[in-house]
Amino acid sequence: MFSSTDNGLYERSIGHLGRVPTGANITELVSEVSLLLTAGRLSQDNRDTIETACSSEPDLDAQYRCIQQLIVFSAEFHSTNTMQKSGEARAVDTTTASNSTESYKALVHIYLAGGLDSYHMLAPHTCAPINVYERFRAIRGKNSLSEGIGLTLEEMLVIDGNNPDQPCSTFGIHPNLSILQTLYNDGDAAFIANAGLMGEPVDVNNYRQMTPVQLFAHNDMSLETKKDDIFNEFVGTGVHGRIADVLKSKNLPVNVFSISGTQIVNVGEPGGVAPFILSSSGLPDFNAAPSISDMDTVILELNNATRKDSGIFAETWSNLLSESMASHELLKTELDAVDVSTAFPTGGVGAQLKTVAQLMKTKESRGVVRDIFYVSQGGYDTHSNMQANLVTRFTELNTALEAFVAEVKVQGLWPHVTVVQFSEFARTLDPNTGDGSDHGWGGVHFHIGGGLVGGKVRGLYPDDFVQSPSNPIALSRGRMVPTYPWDAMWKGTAEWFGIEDGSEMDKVLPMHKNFPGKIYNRTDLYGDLFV
Amino acid sequence: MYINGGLIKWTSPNANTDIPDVDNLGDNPSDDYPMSRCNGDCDIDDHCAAGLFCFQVNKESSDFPGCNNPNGLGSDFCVDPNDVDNMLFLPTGGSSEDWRLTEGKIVGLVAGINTIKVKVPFGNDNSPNIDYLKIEGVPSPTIASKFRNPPHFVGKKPSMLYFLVFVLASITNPFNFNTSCPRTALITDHVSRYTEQNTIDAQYETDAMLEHLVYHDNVAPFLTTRIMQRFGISNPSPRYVQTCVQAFKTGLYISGNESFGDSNYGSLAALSACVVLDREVTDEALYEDPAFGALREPILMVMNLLRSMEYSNTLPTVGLDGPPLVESYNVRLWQMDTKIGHSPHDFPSVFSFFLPEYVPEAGPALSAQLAAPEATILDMPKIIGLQNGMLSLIKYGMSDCKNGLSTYPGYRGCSGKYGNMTID
Repeated sequence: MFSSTDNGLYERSIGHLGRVPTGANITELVSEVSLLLTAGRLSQDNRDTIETACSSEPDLDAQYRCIQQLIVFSAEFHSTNTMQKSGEARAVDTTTASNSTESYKALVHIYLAGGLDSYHMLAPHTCAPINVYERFRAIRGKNSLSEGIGLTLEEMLVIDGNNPDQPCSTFGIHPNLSILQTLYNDGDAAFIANAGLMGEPVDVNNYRQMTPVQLFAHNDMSLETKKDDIFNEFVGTGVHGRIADVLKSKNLPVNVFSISGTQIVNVGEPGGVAPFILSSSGLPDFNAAPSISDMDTVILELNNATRKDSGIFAETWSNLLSESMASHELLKTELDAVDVSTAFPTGGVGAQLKTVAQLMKTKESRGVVRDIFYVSQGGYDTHSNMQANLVTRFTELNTALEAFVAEVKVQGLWPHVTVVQFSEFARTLDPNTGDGSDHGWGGVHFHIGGGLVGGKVRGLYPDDFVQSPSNPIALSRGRMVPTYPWDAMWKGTAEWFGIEDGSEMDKVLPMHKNFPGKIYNRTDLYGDLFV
Repeated sequence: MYINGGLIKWTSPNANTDIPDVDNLGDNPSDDYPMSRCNGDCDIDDHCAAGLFCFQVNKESSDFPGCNNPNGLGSDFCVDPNDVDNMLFLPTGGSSEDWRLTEGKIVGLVAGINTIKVKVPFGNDNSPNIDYLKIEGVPSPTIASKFRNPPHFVGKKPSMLYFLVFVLASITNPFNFNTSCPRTALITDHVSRYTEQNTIDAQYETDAMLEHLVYHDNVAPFLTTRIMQRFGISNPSPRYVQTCVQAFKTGLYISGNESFGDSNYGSLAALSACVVLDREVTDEALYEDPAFGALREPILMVMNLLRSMEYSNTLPTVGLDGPPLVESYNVRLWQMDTKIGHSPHDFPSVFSFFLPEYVPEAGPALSAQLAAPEATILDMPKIIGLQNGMLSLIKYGMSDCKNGLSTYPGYRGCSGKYGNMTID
């Protein structure tokens, strides 16, 4: 049984720092490493601190590694300055209490990766005068030989569309997404039908020219959906990042988290709000296995307060490091300490949402009034056996959402939370030979939250899925050109979250003005009375 | 060609001394193809011997220097372009290989508007296209910057063409008229003319645009400042910038007995030498200046560690599970953009990693309003990621152990997460 230990054997590596020291004692070692890593700038003060700290190591090799570890924390290594300490302790301001009187709001983005077959999430049920249900079953492959892949009337969890603009009075939710039916009937969930990534309103004749993205491709549609800025007005940023930048500029303290890796959606403009990346198991450790006792204290000592005439860049590093270590420890301690009262599923999107719920509990100690979270669930690229695959995925999602909604309600935050769901594209209504569906475009997505005026199917559910000269929105095989843009949901959501119309909204959603009449404002989605 | 009314002639030093009469061998004398100089009737250049061109004459009294056409008849004949006189020979061919470069002519231009006329042989009433006019031989960027809009000419229908050149200063200089016009186009072939015109237009316009950008007044100070920042001086002094701007513009930087650069505008050699040899970066006394220097780039610090502490790919002798691994790994730094916010080729946008004018939000840099570009990405998650990565590298080697910078080469992860191993 081998393990990763500080024994100089590097048992879990593909290579290591191989330099053999020439110094015969610890003082010489410090001097040697200082020359190599700081061009000899390391102050006598810091040399003494490092020598004292590392002398407790048992042998020269261990001391040598200890010295390197400490020198890479020094301001002389991180800047080209020399520095002189003032001899005083550094005052690190860890007070995060917000003086904002704004009430707390959290935006949770659930991304269903792979392209959700969303016409299998919400299907037409009772429709007149056009029997859209029959058309739906037909395009989903129902014929004399096969039932196809469409939801049947019997399977559906029926909801009232509550929208005279729709071709159907009732719709059916997938049977394994009962949480959505419950929330919908509570007025806490709503759908937008036939929405998708668009830069301008388009139809089958001009969609290629006017939507300059790689339509139907996972990578690009996923990226562009998260950026929601296909004309690149704010290069390299995503919706969450831009929202956070605007909120920060208005002095609304905001944190941005991804519980699912680095995400462009969370990236703002350079120098803006730094997104946190957590795993479902929480924040990564800092210096998880310190080589010497009280190592963090030694690190802070190396970066103690400096004199006024000390190097400014060195001071900048020492200050940022000390603050980062303090805020990391604070958040880590808080997060590790909180627990939630609801049982969450382990693994997957459920575990991610549990982390979100835990983070919400640390909002006071983080001093924020806004939180943005990104979580994701994969496995939606259902090129074969779409129905069976979605039963599995939806069941997992349903369980996760049930737990999350229950927990948020326990925390008393339900009116303060909105969950929005996106996916890169919907899929062909027409099945392939493997009872799967292939890459499409426009589809249905949902949002849930205690503040929503839900219980309504917004957007416009297609009443004709077949490509023909008279159908402006159907491409081949039931690929639907979206009627509503992603901005339809984003606009009202962003407004609720504190983004004002005008320059703020133009930055957050640079394309939203291209869709007059196809955008939902805060009053549409949240009504006049909202938290 | 006429410049401000004055006639400009070209005469080739290779012009033939004899001037034979035009000899018309028949309407389509295919047995005589390829024909000799001053023989006709030809229709395309291939009807003429190598180096000769078919001079298209479709009206009476058209003439070409080098051939005597006493009958003044309208048959086309083969000519040697070296015989050009009083005009530019505009070859056929339709591709850039057939461009003709005349010898340079010294002409005087006046301040303000200069008029250039090109006279087209009688009968050639399809317009020639002169795509490009260039003034050469004067040290750049003086000239190019004077051409606010690089001249660009497109011919019009009349046989006498008027071109306007906008020159802001009076200058005398060698004048190279690099012109191109397919002769077939002179006659009838509109399609090929427009095809060629578009290609050449695009090439010249691109060239002119790039030239405009390269010689723009902002380029030298912009590049200089940015390169200084990457070379460790976040807030270079105006004098330092000016010195290196001069090096870039003149293409020359002299340090002691060494000189750098090729004496042409835009020398990066001269600029680089200036950036690293100027007294502002070499005088040790400056280390005492608190505003001197910079924060270091995260990836460069990792590289510093790897190089100075002599990293090598050396598989451990014990402990590695899984199949034998080749030792010829590249150094495997993994997902550095996520861990430390900085990685080669992985810049988040066209603006790269750092904002050049970024001022930290706290401390003396804020009070002094000093730029610290590298601080743009020094936020808590990235600082923790960078320091964890270096701690791990020193202690465990290149691995994923304790948030290391690499991936684990064996079957199971360092942490034992995938097996029943323990840590420490």
